[in-house]
Amino acid sequence: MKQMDKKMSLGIKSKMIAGMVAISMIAGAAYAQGRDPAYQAARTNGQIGEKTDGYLGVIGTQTDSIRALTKKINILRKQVYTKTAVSQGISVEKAAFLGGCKNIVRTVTGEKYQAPNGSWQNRGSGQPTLDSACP
Amino acid sequence: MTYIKNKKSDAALIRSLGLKWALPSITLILLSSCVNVAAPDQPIVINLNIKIDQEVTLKAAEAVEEAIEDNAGIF
Repeated sequence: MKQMDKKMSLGIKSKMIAGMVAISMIAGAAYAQGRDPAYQAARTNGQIGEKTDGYLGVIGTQTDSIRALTKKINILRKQVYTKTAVSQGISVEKAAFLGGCKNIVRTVTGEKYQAPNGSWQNRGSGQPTLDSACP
Repeated sequence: MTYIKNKKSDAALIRSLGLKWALPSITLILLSSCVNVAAPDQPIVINLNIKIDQEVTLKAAEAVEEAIEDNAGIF
């Protein structure tokens, strides 16, 4: 009986550990994305896209809430770019442009990004078309 | 008609100046073309500037990248 108990408790323990690992992995993935569901949906639906200047652009005619969300995120982005620009001794525009290069690379298949000629492109499975000034 | 006339007068001028003046002027033309060839400094300076600029851009790009990853919710 005692041995059985020991085996059971061991089994439960390993299951608990596995469960905890699984939970922390899910939490980790959620943290890595961290996007507001409405923002994520607008990206996935191709309603907004990544511009070459480092900010989000509204594609076509979209609802007020999508336009407001885009504006809000762009203001927050400018704060991040400004902080980096000051610490690196470069202009905010330059920091934002470098961010744009990265943001376009970070898009996933189906999302939209702006090509160097200003047109909206669907991100395919391959590499996106970047501005020649991107590092 | 006038063109031919001018050409004739040019030839007459050269003849009147003679070989004594023609030779130094030819030497001068040759010398000036030699001077034009020698200008090696500028391209090297420009290349160095580009290299420094690229290093600054790469360092800044890394910093921007880090900032984006730290604020993944809005990127």
